[in-house]
Amino acid sequence: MRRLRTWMLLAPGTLWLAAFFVVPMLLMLGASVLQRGEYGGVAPGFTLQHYRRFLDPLYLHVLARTILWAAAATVACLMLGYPVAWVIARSRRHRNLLLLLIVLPFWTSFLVRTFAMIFLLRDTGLVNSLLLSTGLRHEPLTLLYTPFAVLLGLVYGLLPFMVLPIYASLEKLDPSLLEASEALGARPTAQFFTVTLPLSLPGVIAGSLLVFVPALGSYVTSDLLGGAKQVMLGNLVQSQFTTARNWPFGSAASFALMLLTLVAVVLSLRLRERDAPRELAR
Amino acid sequence: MPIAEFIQVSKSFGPVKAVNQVSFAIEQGEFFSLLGPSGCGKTTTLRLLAGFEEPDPGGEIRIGGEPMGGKPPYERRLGMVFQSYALFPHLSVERNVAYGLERHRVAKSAIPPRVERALELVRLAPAEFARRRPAELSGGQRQRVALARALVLEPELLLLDEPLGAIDLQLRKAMQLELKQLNRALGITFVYVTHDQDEALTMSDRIAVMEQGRVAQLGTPAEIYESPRTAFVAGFIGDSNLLEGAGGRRVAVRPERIQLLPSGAQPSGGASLRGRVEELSYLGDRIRVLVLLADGSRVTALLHNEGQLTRPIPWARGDEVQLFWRPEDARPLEQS
Amino acid sequence: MKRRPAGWVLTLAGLVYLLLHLPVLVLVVFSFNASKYSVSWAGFTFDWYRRLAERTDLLRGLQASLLVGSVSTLIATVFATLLAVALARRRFAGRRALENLLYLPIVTPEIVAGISLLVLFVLLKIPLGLGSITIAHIAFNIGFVAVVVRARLEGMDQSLEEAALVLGADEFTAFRTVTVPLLWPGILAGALLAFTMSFDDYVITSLVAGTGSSTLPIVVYSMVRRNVEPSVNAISTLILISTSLLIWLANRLMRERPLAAMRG
Repeated sequence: MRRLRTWMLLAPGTLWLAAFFVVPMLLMLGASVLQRGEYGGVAPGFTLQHYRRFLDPLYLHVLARTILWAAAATVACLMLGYPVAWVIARSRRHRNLLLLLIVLPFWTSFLVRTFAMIFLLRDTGLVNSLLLSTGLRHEPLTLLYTPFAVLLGLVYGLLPFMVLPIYASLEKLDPSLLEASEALGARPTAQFFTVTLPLSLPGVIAGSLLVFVPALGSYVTSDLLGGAKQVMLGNLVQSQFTTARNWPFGSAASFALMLLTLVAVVLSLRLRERDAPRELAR
Repeated sequence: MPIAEFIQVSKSFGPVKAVNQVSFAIEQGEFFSLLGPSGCGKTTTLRLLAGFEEPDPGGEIRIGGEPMGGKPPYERRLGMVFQSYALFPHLSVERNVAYGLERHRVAKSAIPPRVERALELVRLAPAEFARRRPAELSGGQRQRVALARALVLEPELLLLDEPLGAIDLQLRKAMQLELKQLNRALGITFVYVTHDQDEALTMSDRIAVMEQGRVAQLGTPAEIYESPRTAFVAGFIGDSNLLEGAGGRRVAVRPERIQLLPSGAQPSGGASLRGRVEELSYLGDRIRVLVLLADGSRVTALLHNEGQLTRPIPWARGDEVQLFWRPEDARPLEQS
Repeated sequence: MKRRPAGWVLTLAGLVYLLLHLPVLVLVVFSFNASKYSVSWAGFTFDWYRRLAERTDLLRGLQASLLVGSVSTLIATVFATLLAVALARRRFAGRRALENLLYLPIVTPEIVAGISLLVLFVLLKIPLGLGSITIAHIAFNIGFVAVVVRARLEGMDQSLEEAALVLGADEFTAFRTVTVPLLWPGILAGALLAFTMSFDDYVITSLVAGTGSSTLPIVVYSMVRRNVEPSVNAISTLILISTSLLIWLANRLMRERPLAAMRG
């Protein structure tokens, strides 16, 4: 059609993304199979040694830790988030307020919130000073720079991503289905496992993806709350590019992270597709 | 010269042929309906005429004799009323109606009186409605604003895409009459898309019945109803009994054309079949009788209700009856 | 849904809400605490805020963040809106592929996006600084804004634009007089999202910032790592207040009738 041609709409955004997202990704992929340059950067010569390096127990450990923590954070968010979504979906008068309180952290600086966690958890932080002043402990409990701190930080930061999709699917749930199951003799527990949970599964899947993926790629949380000991894949990437000056290995680690992310996304899309017909069938 | 012509027009969306080799002409001033079930291609046909879709190569659409190939909607000077009304929610009623005038560079001073006249034409008091937002109107009022917005440009051709689909039955009947009157009074050609056969029969001068992207039959309401060409048309417009006629040809007989006679009667000059009354339904003005034939098929007959309390029909469930119809009421069908 | 949730469910939900909001509240309260090292309350003070004013690096960081934020938001929003309109309203080859391309930056870990951009900038010898930061922010914001705007477009009756076309508006006029005014809340929401993300971003920014230029998050990050002073609480509180104000403002704007200005 005239004047506002499709390519005019597409060109600016697509070209920008191609130049500053797709091309860099390809460059990084290329860098991961080249030799390491002497002062950072890369040197010519094809090699797969940077990927082989992941078999080193040190890096295997980082890989495993990254997946494990991301999974743990997802499960924790699910356990904590589902009841919250449930309460919001069932509330009538305060629903908007409850939702606002879930959405609010989205708009709060991630950095500020991470700092708030540090402020609570450090040796001289609020939690420890409460423990000391109440006499529950005589020396500070080490909370910061532990796996616990990282996990808490991830859950704290990502919980809203779990609550909202689950809420959305619970809200859509037709109340007459619950009444029908009651009329058919389902007690509350049976009702939850046979009706509510299966029907809110799309929300659970979406929420899990939204928590798992950022958790996999988290950098700030593990850097600030985990310190030097609790390195995740994201921190490994960063250190290879800054302190270690090993671009090819950093690129390989980066690519591994990207691959993990894509696997998670594709997997969850598959799960959702398998679920979709059930949702559509009226 | 016809006001609009479709010549061998097709439209494909990927592998789906929404419109398939359609040719017809719409005459100046007539009320022309495109009728069919959903997915039959009637809306795509209308959108082709409006210029939202381009026909597949090989087909041509002409408006006022002029080929429309490649012409965008805004150069076709049509009026259109959308199913959803498509009133601009951010503009008041008067600004909605003025929108087209502004686009056509009508002098600023000429716009308000024309808007006012258009609103009066659709019987909306300008003083009361001009400044309202679409959200502050009832469904019927929105309908009228949409009509005024299309008519204010004085188009020769007005396209209406199921405009009465969203309003309730009583208002719909009134609007049908009003649209028909507007069509006659203004001399504008109406092209009307609907899936409602009653609506099409009541309002149209001519109807094109569409099925699977093709025009199954085109004709006046009487032609379509009384002489359906295919089983699809016979079934879609009103009820029909599809029967085996003379020489093994399939024929359609309208239920109201079938008479019931006592079993064993020997009617002359017509066809007849034997059967047993299976069900009687009381419809108010009619009585519907379902008759089971020996071969297991069923035939519906509609009898006039002469008053079940005073002059009841002489049949009860289980009675053996003779079905009778005149030969001219059995319409032979083409294979569709 | 009729019955109230069980008691333990309500309690758990309450605790989760506490977990979500208590840390930040505590942070704010202690930005007014007179004691420097202890978390015990030693009296109310504005000292930490006064001390912020002396730090020129914070002020420069703020300026940089505002500049990068507004430029990148403007460009990303325009590009993304055009993309969203094309995706929602046009048929073209490769539409599915483009949709996936838009989602890719959203799921890509920031560290990966940042590193790969750094590789590009270094190879092309593009100087690192506010310019490279802005380029990066535009790239990772386009997808987010496009998704937000597109969601709004999906909810918008397409026949509105078609009505404009039939009434004689060419496509550009229809876009200007119908699509944009009706889409405005969505565009604004997308822009707001882009600005907050740009304003808040640390990971990508720190990677492509080079040495000379620091945005506010970079300055704050180094403060947090080096630690301790309650002035971090103070700057955090200020950031919180300003973002809340922004959100509130945007909310107000979005609730208003779509663009009274477009009527004239």
